[in-house]
Amino acid sequence: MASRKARTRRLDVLTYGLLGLGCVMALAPIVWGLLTSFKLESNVALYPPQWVPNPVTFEHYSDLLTSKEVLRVFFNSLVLAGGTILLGLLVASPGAYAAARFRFRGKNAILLTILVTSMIPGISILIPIFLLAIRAELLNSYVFMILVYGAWLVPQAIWFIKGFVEVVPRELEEAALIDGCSLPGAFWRITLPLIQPGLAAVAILFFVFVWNDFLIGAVLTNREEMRTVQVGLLRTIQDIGIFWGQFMAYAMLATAPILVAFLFLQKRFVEGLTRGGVKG
Amino acid sequence: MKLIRIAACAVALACMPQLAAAATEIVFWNNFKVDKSPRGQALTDIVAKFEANNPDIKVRVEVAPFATVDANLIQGAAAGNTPDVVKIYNVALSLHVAAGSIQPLDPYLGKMDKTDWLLPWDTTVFDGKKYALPYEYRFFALQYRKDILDKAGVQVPTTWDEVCTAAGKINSPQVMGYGFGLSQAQAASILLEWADDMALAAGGSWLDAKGRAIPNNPAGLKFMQTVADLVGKCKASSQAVVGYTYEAVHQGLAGGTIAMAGMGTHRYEALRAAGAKDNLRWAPPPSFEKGKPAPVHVLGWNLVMGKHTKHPQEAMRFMEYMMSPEVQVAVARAGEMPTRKSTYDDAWFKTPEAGAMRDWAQYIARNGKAGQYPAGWLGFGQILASETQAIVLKGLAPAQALANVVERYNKAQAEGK
Amino acid sequence: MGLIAFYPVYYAVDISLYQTQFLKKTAFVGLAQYTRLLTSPDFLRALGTSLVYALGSLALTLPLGMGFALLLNRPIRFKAAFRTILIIPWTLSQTVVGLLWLWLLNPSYGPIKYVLDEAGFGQFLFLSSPDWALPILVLVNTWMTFPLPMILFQAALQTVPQDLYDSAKIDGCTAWAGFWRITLPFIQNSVMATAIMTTLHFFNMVTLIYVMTGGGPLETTQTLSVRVFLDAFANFKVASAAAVGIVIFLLNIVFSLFYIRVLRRGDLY
Repeated sequence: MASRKARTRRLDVLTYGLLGLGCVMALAPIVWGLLTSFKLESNVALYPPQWVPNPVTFEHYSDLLTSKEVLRVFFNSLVLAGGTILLGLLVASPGAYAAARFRFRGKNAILLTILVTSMIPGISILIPIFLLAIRAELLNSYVFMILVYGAWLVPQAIWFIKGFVEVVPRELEEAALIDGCSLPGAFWRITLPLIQPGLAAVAILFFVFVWNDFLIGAVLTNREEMRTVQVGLLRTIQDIGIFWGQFMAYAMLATAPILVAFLFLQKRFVEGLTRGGVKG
Repeated sequence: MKLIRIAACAVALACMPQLAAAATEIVFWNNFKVDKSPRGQALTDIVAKFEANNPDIKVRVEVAPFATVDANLIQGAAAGNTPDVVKIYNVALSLHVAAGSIQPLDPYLGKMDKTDWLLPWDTTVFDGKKYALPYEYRFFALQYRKDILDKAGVQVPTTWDEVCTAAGKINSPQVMGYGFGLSQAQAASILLEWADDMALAAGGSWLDAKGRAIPNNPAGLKFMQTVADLVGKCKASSQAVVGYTYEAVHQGLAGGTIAMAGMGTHRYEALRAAGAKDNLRWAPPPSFEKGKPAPVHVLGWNLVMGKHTKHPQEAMRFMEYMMSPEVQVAVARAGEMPTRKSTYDDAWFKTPEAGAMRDWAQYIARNGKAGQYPAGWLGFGQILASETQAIVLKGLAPAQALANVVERYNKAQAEGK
Repeated sequence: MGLIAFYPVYYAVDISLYQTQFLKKTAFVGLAQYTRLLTSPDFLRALGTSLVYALGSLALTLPLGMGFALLLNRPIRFKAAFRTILIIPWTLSQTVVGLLWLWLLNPSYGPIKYVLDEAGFGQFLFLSSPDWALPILVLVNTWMTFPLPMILFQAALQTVPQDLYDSAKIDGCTAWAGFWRITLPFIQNSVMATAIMTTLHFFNMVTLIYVMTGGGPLETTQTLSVRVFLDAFANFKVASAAAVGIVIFLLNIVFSLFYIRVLRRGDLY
């Protein structure tokens, strides 16, 4: 008994240690960027490097937060990310359910084809998508961009969520059906809560992909009020040089929404969802 | 004349409320954003004054950063939707003419003075039509850290041999003697600017009139040999140059880890502001013959009219205004070199702060030429980068490197679209 | 959405059979593009680089992702904090990561160079070295991307029922064996989907590589996707780019089928 406790404690120490090490490795390079965002432009390129900003300045952040153009691009990207997540979950969840539970002819072929459509490299689809957008007069359209993002992401999401649906014991759903629940009802009440972690993971995936996308946003918009976050970042890179203070401040601000969304989705990563579900 | 102008302004201002309702909006793609920087503030004032003097026109300034403006404009033209006025870099002009994304200005030019320009009018004429009005100029000059050169007791070099020896004396793992960049990232921009002028300084050019690379090119060979000598014979630069971009060389100069480098004059003020302050000086680019100044290709941003603009008259009025000497003085004070001769008569140019710009203008008036940049120029840069990297990393013979460049480029151009 | 998905494939195949100039077709050349492409040493080399880049990054990111996911699955405190900090590298865009590391690794003025100098080491070329550029890119890519499999694996681990572990322990199974014999097979399909997603991501990456090295030095970091980018956007050789794109497409399919075969469990479809 005592040795098991000691072993668990040792394992805990090891766990905290490794996680801590991971955090240090993840953060160290970013700390450099963060420090730079608080420096005056004239101190950014000093060598030997100025480790602690002196003087500390918040001007880069205040400039960004008071700029209409910056707030606009953040808004646009938020709409696009939110829309893609909504569309993605709405399409991928039932799709994954069907893929996991139903048996029908041609299922294999359809599933593989769906996956294959997301395998064409992003850069190769850019020009044809652009030409399609021109012909259909769909440039600068939130909806079209969300569809394009979805076309790329949803197939992969279906395959991923399928894995989650498959490990939900069928008995639970069957029990609900016997109790008089309809099929969509069973899906909504039984399956969906149990595949929460998968849905949360996919939501974060979509958010980061759309938020950090540059090419699709640059190609499918040519009006300034529709530009996205990553396109806006380029404004800190001018022909007379990169304005590193602005650049780093922008980069740091850009990570904030993702981290907020992630913190919010944390509680969906609930453990042991199927514990005790099968017994009795 | 002035009295009439004032009177006209007064009348216009009085009529403004009524006219404001009927204002035409033109879209102007600028290469930098409107912010607190000197350029940004100057532009705000310039546009405000234009709108005040022309109440029937409203200018919407949008930012089209240099990295994406060419692609954006061509895409826009394909979509049938372009801005009215765009800032385009001169190197990309032939690309846009060929792609049909900009239109000739001749129908709208009226009586614009064709002689009051630092460089000849024909510089931006393609197929007999005038396509662009130069807005500002820059060229590739030698920029160096006076503090480092003084400490090493070295004179500012005027020829490439002198660069080699001087930089060789300074070069150490802490400070690179002569900095340059061979990276393929950033479209190999610093390499292209350097190689472009080097061929010119050696009395030749890389491509012939048909846009094909010239074999056994003595000018090209001189360039390749210089690269080889800098890293080899003189040990003026380390192999690190293989991965350097324009930004890396800029930051090295700003921080004093590079002693001297070829840099565009547009970076001069930014370098000084980045911490180098008065230690950063400029000198004419080194030549291959002592005592003879090196000719340079003049680069810079131009104003062009989008192909599908719905308001060409208004667009031209804005462009003419931007070319006026008063605006050009404001542009100069914000750090960009104006393009009209008469601008330099302004009193500001006699002040000490205008010293560098005055000297630059004189230099290009005497030694500046216009370059020709076919659509394959960026591809040429990638290949040139690859072969010069081989010179530095593998000791490839300059003559062989040149032959490779010529072969690869001509093959790529023939094959392929 | 099917139209949006299929039209580009049709278009890409179509345009790869023509010569083009500025997005317009000029002449039909049939399969000449492909034969020329597949026999050129450049292409094979780019293919090799793509494989090294993708497989190298996979070999690092998947175990790292799984390792951290397992650690975070244990009953410990501050989980939310650890999870959030660990995903930060992935929340940065490729441009930011590329430029940041380019600065850190600069042989003249990078902070890493400064620290190594103070420690007494000589000058390292880092990305200027044709031998080290690709490995360094793989490491930077790993740093940036490991949170992706980590998040997906974390979610998958949530679905493993506790009773499986309990009964295994009663049978005397160790944690290590338990992982391989119980956990991994249970979340097999999720692992497969994650592997597919990550591989596709790596094969398609352009921005990080282009920002840091542009494909050099000496084309040692020019992957197939970087090649497509350079052909299409620097040289406007759209048809050639499309042909390379099709090849990447086929490669993606090959890899995915491979994963599916290796990791299939019973009635996979």
